[in-house]
Amino acid sequence: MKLFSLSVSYKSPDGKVQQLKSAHELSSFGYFQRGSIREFMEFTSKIIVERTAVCSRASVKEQDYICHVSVRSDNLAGVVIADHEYPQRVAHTLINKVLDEFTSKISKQQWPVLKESEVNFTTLPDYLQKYQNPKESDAMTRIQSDLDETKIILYNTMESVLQRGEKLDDLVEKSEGLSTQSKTFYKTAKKTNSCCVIL
Amino acid sequence: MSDVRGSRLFTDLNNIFRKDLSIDEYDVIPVTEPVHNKSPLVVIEHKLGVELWCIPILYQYAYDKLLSWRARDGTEKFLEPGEVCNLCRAVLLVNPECYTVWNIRKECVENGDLTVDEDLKLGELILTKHPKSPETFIHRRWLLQRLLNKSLLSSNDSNHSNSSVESSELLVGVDGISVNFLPTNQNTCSNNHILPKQIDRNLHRTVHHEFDICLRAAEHYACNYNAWSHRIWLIQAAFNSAVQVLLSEFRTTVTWFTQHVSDHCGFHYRQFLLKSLINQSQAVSCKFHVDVNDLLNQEFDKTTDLIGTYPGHEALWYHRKFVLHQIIDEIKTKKDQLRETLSKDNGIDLKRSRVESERQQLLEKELNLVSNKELLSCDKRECELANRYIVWIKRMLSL
Repeated sequence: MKLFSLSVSYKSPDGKVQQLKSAHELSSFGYFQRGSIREFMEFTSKIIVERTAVCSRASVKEQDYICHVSVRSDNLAGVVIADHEYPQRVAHTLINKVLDEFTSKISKQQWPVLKESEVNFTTLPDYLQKYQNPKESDAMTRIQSDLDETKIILYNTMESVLQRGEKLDDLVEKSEGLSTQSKTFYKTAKKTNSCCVIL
Repeated sequence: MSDVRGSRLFTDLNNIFRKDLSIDEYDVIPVTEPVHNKSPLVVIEHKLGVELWCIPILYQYAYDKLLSWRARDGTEKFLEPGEVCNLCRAVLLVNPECYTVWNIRKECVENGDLTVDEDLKLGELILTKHPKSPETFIHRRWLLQRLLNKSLLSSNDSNHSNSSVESSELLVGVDGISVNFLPTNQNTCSNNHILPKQIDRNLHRTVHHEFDICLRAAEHYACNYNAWSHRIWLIQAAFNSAVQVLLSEFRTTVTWFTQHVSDHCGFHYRQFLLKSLINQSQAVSCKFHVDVNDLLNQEFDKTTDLIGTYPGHEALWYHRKFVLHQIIDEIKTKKDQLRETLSKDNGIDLKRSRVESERQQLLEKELNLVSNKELLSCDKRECELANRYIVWIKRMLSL
């Protein structure tokens, strides 16, 4: 089981999403794939936060990957991308913890205006490392008490998260965050039905 | 036109391998058409990237040339052995399932145009891009077998006065390889000095590296049956299933399994280890003071623990079934032994029924455990799996 990415973002009331901080662990991917995979993980995180209502949690499955997301009532959102083996509850506990810590370090007024490079919050890589093994992190014991009664909504594909009329292919094509190489990567991977690609 | 590009790409590729001897990864870069006037082959930090558009051109060129040489009919009647090896490399990097080309490599090795180490290195590189390629693993086994035979042969040469049977020769090689596998155990083999030290050491390194390669391949491709069965072959061929290697593997791979709970191929490997240990249970308890039953029970507890922590993985339940079945089998063996020793005793019926009831008790305990825990789980998938397991236990009970 692996955690690939952990990110915090702000979802403004009009629905726009700004990433505030992120960390990635992509050593299990090929050297030449890492750049594109990273772009795709950020792209996916953004799309999913945009389509998740305030005050809700969701886990979205896509091939062998699962994207866990939580958007709080104060518009702060956290996303974890893990493989399908990683326990869902631990992933959501991790999001909770990270969002709480983020709130205590960075004041609420700053969230809407800060850019990613200006955010002084450096503990994400540590969390990503520590939670790679869910048993060694303290998460297993804390799960029961930590997770509030918010229900986690499950989606079996990325497409089911999208709004009516939206298509993933179009979103990829239109995206500004993805380089030409990543877009080609997406297309060729889809054509050969490769298993080593997120999305 | 394409022929010119093909030969240029081929030359580029050869130059890259000549200049950089430690290329350790290879991948295809998704660039569908030439966008700049640079070589489509790039090397960054010893990683080789090949742009997608040039692959068909390179492949077609190398494959045609090689096969026309092979058929001895076309224009390519004579090729330098080095050129043949290079063409093979170009073909295999793109398509490692081409058995003819692997066979040409085998001939190159037999003719001495290519060393076994070089060929192992190419296989390793190919596995970074194609981690489950069966042909690559098969070819590696051929190469490794060659190394093993050579080492055995030289140990025979230095040992020809000793006319012992072949099987014991094999064991000598085995112990020679595995000496520092388990640092704590007492050295059980006293005659491994027969092996020439140099060959022995090289082989030792190669075989250990092979274990790493298997693990890497298994990491890159989930449920990589080819990688795990290659590891099984290693244990059998290079170590003759020596107990100390089995035990050490059993201990060192446990972390991997707790982190890959849905990888049935990995569990299958563990089941192979357990079975081999059971087959040699006497050696295990005499030499290493380990009771196979303890190992089984530990494994069972571990599996139960993993199921509780990570619900919803079928592979774990299969493993649980396997371990429970082995435990019951062990009880049966005990029963058979009792029957033999007590055949003339009239207390036989009493003893037999005691063993019988032990089995019954075990199954019933398991039934209760699962019914009270996993069956009540809120995870739907987990419930389903627990139900299937209970059906299986009930069938065992009625036997």
